[in-house]
Amino acid sequence: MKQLLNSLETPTRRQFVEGCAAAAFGLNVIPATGLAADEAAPKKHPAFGKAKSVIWIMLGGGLSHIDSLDPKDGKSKGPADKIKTAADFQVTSYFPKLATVADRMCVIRSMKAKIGVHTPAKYFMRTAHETRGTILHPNLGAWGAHYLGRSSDTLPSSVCINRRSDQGNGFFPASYAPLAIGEPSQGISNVHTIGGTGKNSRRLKLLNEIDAGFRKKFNDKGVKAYNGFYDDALALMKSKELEAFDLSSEPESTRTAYGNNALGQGCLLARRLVASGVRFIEIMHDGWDHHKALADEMDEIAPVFDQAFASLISDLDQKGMLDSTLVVVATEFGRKPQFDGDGRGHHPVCFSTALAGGGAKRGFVYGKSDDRGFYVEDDSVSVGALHASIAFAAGMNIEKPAISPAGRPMTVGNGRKPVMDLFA
Amino acid sequence: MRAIPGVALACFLSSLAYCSEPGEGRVKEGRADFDKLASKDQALKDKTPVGIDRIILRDLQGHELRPNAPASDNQFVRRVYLDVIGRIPTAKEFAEFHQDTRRDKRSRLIDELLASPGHVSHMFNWLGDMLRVKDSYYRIGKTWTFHTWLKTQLDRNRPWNEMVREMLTAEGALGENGPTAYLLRDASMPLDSLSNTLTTFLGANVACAQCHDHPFAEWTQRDFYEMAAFFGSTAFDSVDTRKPAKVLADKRFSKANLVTLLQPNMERVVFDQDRATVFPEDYAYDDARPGQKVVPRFITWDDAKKKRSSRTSSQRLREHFADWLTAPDNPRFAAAIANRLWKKLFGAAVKEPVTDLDDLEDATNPELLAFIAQLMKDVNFDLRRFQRAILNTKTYQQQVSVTPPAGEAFRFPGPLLRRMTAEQAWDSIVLLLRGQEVDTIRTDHAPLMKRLVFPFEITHHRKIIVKDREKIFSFAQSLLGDRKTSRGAGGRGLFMQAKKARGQDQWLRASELPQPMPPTHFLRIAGQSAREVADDGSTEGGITESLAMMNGEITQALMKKSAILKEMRQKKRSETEQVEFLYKSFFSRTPNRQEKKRSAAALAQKLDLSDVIWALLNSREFIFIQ
Repeated sequence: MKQLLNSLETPTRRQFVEGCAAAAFGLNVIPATGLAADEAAPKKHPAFGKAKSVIWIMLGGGLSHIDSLDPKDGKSKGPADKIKTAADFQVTSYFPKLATVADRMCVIRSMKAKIGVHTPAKYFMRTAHETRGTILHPNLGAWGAHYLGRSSDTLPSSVCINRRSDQGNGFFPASYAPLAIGEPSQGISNVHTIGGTGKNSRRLKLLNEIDAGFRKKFNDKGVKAYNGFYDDALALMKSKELEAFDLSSEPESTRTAYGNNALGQGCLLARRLVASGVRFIEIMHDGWDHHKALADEMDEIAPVFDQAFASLISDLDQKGMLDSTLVVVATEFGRKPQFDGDGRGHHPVCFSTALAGGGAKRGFVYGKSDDRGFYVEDDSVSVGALHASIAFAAGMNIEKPAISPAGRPMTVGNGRKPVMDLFA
Repeated sequence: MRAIPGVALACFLSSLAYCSEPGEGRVKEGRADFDKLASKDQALKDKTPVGIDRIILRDLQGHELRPNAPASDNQFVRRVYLDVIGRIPTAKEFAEFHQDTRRDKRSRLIDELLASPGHVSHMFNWLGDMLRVKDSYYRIGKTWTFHTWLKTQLDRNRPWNEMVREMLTAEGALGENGPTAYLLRDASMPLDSLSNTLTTFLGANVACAQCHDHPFAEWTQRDFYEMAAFFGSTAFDSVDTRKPAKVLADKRFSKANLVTLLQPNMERVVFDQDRATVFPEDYAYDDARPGQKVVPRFITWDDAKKKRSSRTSSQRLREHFADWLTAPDNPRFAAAIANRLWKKLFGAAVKEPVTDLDDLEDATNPELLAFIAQLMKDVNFDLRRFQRAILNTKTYQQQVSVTPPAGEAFRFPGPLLRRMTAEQAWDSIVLLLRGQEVDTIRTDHAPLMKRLVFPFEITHHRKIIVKDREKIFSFAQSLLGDRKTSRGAGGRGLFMQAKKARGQDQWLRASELPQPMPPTHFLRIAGQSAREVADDGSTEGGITESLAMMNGEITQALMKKSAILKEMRQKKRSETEQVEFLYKSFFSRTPNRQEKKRSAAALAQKLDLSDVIWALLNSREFIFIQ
């Protein structure tokens, strides 16, 4: 150990290049194949590895479980009534379109956590680890790259829409960070040459001439990695799959069906990216922190999600992609059963999330909260277990830990086990 | 007022500087002292570099290695500008150095650069990554007073031990006392805060011991709690100012506005005698009970010595800790900063990683580490004098090596070939865009915060703060002047003039821009730390960076309206001279005959000088430091 710690190759946080990234000097930084499969991996289960892609919809703030997926009666009841769905569970009347695809959903009504503060709760939901000042933890996109290798030859394996690229690679190398799309309808930045491709290739020729001496003189792995990054960037610029980022090629009717807003267009973009081989896509949607005027705010925001989510599920289903795509609805925490004025406070000890597709059971409710929606009554699911379940569906052999820069073994979901009952 | 050793040099240096605020910490020294220190400094300048070279040579020979050949003037000038003032030299600066025929021109340039404003900017970035300097902390609002404080200390060349001591002992409100921001940074997680402090300043690898005994080092969880106990009576007042703001708010001032106003006043580090550190609920070892009060005790790296407990009054505990941590005889404090600065100049530390100095004998060259740690003490923690000694070594002035293969120790036959840091890359590009003036443009938002400091005492208690409402409101109204609406302007905008503060000018050096920049900005794409965890800057590169270099905004600006283009247009030069000028501007060298020919051929084939700029910018030779 001492020997290892002393060399320049000490896995300090950023230089930390794991065994699998030794291929850093080829065309791509993330290797084409993941870790060797372990014999003991639970792959015999039919749901293992069924989800080739994951679309993670993150509702920022805290989705009120009682006003959405886990409606209650009595004092806890919110402004909306219960409605029937295509499955045999109910949701609130804020979500009529979601109700029509409920037969393809797997709702978890027994999420249990303890962090009731936005920033750390968001971090916890994305990484299944609590915030530390000393280490950053990876999201599921980075874990996917670690276990499974890159998911496309020319496109990134992880993308995040409507948010920054942080809370992504964690302690893994920078190349595991998601590609951030700030505005889904604008696509990806800096992929167009200055002054056309003809001019660009003449410039590239000049660049290679100018730089040849330096590259020859310094047989350095940093320099070689740079050559690789440029090759990758040029491949991406030329990639036919770049069209995946361009929503303007979608029919107007489809774009409208998803909703002309950042979430709707983000979901449509996610579907296109999945079709082009991107493994993990997060779509961020803020505005779910209803301390005040819950009724008014839900009237405004719920339809946006309702339309985008229902369109995404039925679109994926129609295109035959739902079985291989796991859609996750996540949030920071739930909201309190009791009203504080006309809104509800943060409530991490009991809330709801949902899965759809990717081998998850259809028309199914897992877990149960008490009559008020205050505590979990049966089958509580931790955020770590949710992560482990998604990783299981995506085919990651999470039994095998990764070693963090400080030499600590780290696992998806912080050591929690997948909830097998979520899968068909 | 404590005496500041090495202050003569500091005064000398700051007299050359461009921005100095009167007041705190400035000490005038007599002429005699200056001479004494100056001659001691001269001795260090002469002897120490030789001593370092000798130690390294011995080590290299012992491993049948040889030092690299001396670096050329071209290599040296580019390297030293980047290492000392954080940017490449201009074509003019390059030519000046070239024309200088004095034998000691290298050491003269080193002195000149260490005393220049660019050095402060560059060191601020370096510390910014180490100390996680951020414009706003979660729930604590703006921290501009801290940035200004840091820059002022660097400008005055305040010794490192004093800077660290002040950050650890600072008390009072953030708006008045910038260095309180150091502890306020992690107010909600004091254990992580301690872990960062010990790791950063001492290289004590204790993070694991926060929750359990360290798996392969000596640290126990008990050690950790005994150290934490020095901060046990430190309280962070009103970390959530939304609560008092809510109590005060009425139809005149909204809660959001009041949060902005209260933050510089109520975010405070204070002493609280009712608080003490206790062992945690899940404490797993049988040498203490959960909930039992922890006796503060200093860790030691030497098993022979017994741990020293602190018998000081609870009010002085934090000072006692800071004295112990920053003392010259602390076995790790000088070594830690010396090792970090060595890494900054050579691309590799004597002991990697810099966050783990638990076993000094484990360094690639323990004698070298001991020597530079002693040097740091000899110069009384004067970071400029320390760097000056290193920069004057033959070792620093030799050609670079490439990173050795995994598992092979690097023994410093010269510095390592390094990629520029994000800040070095950005500052160099901004230099090419705007010219030398960028070094002297400074932003300082601290006055915006300082004007919010109440000129009266308030009750720092949210339940009874309502007593102070009228005082606070009339002060708030006075800040607004004639403005009629006081509720509007979305909280921060009203008092902080946030829009103005954000700065209209985007082409500034990294130290003068928001800390850190947003993730889509070139600085972040090129690896600027998000400032969430320490030492997180990256020079790895990536696809997004290559895309930005080839097709992004900075490249377009360089190709269309940069200072170098302007200069080329103004002066009548032949095409060959223009290409030569560009090579000097980007690479600090002249092109050879073949390179001239190639550029000429390119220019004859539908490319123009801006395309040459594109090619030079995107070359590895530009982004790597030889």
